Amino acid sequence: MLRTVLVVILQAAIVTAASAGVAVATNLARPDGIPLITDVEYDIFAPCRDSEADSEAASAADLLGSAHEVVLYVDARPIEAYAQEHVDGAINIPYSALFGASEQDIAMIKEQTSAKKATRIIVYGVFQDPASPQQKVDFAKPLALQLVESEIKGVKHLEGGMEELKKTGIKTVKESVGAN
Amino acid sequence: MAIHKDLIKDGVSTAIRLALAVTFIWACIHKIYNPYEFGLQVATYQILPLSLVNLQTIILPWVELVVGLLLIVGFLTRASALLTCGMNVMFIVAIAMALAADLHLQCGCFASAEAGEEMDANLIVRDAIFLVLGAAIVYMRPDRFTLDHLLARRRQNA
Repeated sequence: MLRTVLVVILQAAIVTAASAGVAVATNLARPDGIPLITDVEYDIFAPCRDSEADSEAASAADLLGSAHEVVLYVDARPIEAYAQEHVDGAINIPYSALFGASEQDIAMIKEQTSAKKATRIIVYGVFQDPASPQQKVDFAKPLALQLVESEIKGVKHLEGGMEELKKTGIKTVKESVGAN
Repeated sequence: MAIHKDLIKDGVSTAIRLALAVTFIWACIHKIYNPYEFGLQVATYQILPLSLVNLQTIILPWVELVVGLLLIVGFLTRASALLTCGMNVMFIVAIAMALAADLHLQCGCFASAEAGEEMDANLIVRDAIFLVLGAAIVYMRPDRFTLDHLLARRRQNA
């Protein structure tokens, strides 16, 4: 039995060696053969799959139903808007539409989540630019998506921004330039 | 009755052998004709060091071809089937690594990148089936329709 196995393995090695010989000879003979060993990088392009991550939307009413959870609020608006008024205890991660949130910001959220043992992270971020009062921008969803992609659990983005939250009676802090 | 059983067994063995042979020959044709394109696909897996990419690109399709031809004629049948098992293990590992790295690429198994199959876990299942078929050929004695069988009978009669 062992002898048979060894013979089969030896035969397989011989077939491989013979095939390799034919392959190398053919490659050398053909005009479009490639070098046996190359030091020129192939121009590879292998994009990562499209992200399937999604952030769950939450309404202020939903949040009232999850009062038992330890919530970390993340304010995605620019620092000026945060300084004017923000949810008490919220941390400010000013979201850049161009660059997203920085790695340090993500790391800080992870750190805060762990420190506060937060089970739910609510991102809010409807921002009204004083320069164009008709235009409202919501940074909550893109930031929430980035957090989900960074493997942070329990992330929801709040629809309607802080104004909706205030209707639930949540405590806000005004004119604070507190550290984020 | 025993003759019938042997005939059925040999028929199954022949069918598996020919299926594997056709698959491997079919798989190698594009790779042999388009070495650069296949090299690009091998490189895209990002598993082998650059210095080994071209060697793999040149040698692998010819091993597939030779193994396929040997399986058809039934010469060195078990060794050839063992090589199909080895190649399938290699393909499964490569596909699993590419999937684990979340690379969005074509498998490069049978056709060009443009026409190739999108990489997904089904390819692992397919290669696992080929692996089992190859292992079955290694395990069974060469069937009566192989050159191996003919040569063995000649040796016995001599």
